[in-house]
Amino acid sequence: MLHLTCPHCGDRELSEFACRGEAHVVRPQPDCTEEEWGEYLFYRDNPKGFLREQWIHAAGCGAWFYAIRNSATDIAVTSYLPTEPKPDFPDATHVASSSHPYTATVSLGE
Amino acid sequence: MFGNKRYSLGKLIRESRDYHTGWQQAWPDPTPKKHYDVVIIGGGGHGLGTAYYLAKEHGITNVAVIEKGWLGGGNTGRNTTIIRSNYLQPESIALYDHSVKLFETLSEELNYNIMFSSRSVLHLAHTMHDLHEVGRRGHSIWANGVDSELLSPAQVKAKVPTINLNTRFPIMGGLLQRRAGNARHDAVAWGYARAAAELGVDIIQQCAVTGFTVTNNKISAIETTKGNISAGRVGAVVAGHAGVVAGMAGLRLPLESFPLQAFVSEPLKPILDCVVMSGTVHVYASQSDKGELVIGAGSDHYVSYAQRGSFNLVEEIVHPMVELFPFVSRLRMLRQWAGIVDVTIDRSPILSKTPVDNFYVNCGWGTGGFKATPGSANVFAASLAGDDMHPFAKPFSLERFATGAYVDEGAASGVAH
Ligand SMILES: Cc1cc2nc3c(=O)[nH]c(=O)nc-3n(C[C@H](O)[C@H](O)[C@H](O)COP(=O)(O)OP(=O)(O)OC[C@H]3O[C@@H](n4cnc5c(N)ncnc54)[C@H](O)[C@@H]3O)c2cc1C
Ligand SMILES: [Zn+2]
Repeated sequence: MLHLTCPHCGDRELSEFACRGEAHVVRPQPDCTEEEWGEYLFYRDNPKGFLREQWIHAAGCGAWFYAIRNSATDIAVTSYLPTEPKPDFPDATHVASSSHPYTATVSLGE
Repeated sequence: MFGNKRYSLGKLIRESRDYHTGWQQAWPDPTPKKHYDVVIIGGGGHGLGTAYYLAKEHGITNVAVIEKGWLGGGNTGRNTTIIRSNYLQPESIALYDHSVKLFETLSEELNYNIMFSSRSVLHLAHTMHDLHEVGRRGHSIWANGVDSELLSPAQVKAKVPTINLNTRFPIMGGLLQRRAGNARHDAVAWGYARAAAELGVDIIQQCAVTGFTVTNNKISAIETTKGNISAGRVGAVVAGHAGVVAGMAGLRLPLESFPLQAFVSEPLKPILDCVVMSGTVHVYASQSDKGELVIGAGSDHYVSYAQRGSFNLVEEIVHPMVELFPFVSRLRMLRQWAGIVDVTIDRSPILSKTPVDNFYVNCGWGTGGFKATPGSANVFAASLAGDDMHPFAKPFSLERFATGAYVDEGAASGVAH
């Protein structure tokens, strides 16, 4: 993943962006238990495969946005704004067989 | 232990005479049995060590280690081998120093040369804040009975003559642990594997765990690519894949997996006889016995299981290295690689029971668990053998993420290693 797509600025070099962790983590109500609060703060899905993340175009327009990426291959799939509906994950075969220049190294990610 | 398979100088001489025809396979390649008392998932140093101590210290020999690739192919064989116990909190010092002490005698214990070298580790301080941090940590370590010394810039220069004190952030001092150093990483995995197999442990390679059958809140079957296996207790010791394996038991963990990369240079004459680390300019280096500089730095900032590491970090690693050691500017790098490290919020490991009754986890070692290999394995084995977690492991349970009793090692592990 050398590039990422900002919904405003388009395809940019990865070094312009900062990752801000798993997206759509929902804050529990103030009267939640300590377990629920700990879960909210620290527990993550951390999946090997597709995931949704928050990114900020830090050295660019400054926008916060969401991106779908495959953590097993590092191939970024799509970006969307918080105001937009969540796109579905693509099916794995579609991504693996795409003509992305880094598919050749996919198997390196175990 | 080992009988005529024992390694010794006499054996080496006999083998030299006989053209090295008499060496035996270091451990067998068994087919998995249907049931084990304990199954360890993950054939890195921590997993293999756990199996060894289960057999050696607790008499539990019906044990299997299941590894999806080859032994030490995870972070055990990918790390920069720094061993030290100069952490801030008493809980960490107890666990890491237990480990350093076991490292000191591990070659004899395993009859396998793990090349432990207490060549000392030097942390650099570049700002007033750094000086306060190493000062506070140095005194805390000292108060806990572990060696640590604060050095002036002149003493840093005397210890490491090739260093440039006058960097963009000038070197203002350092924290030295003389008992610290490094060891040969694969040898730790191989030494434990050979000694564990000798005591009856089954070491099963090229066998991935693909799922669990959970009945009555217990793992009743471990599904693997070589068939189903049942076990009294199951310990997951899979580092970067901790979240993936815990997910098979329906659990989430308080950690995330990031790539961490390292480099080795072309070989040089001896120029660096200790490990140098800097959290502020963010790089660390040592020189291997072959003469290569072993260089590492920060991890990537996004979750990934692709064992590559991102390209822009390469530049971030090279910059401070050239600042600290200007002579490396024309040095060529021979290899670059990455491992997937499992990072917790307080930069401390997780050694814990889980909500699934017979399922234990040993993970969260992140960027710095090689140094803990023997200690972690030793206390994890005791925890799997007994009713309760070992006292050294207790502060590192999953409960701390609800109670708030974190073991904060952010500064002591500030540079990723
Ligand atoms: C570049 C780099 C530099 C580092 N430098 C240092 C350092 O200088 N000092 C230090 O103390 N630490 C360092 N570390 C951290 C250290 O390497 C790790 O904390 C430690 O080696 C972890 O050992 P382990 O046995 O727990 O895991 P690993 O050695 O990663 O073993 C886990 C094993 O589990 C296997 N596995 C995973 N999933 C499955 C499955 N489903 N079924 C079966 N098997 C599975 C994997 O194949 C792997 O072999 C570094 C790490 C990296 C990546
Ligand atoms: Zn933008």
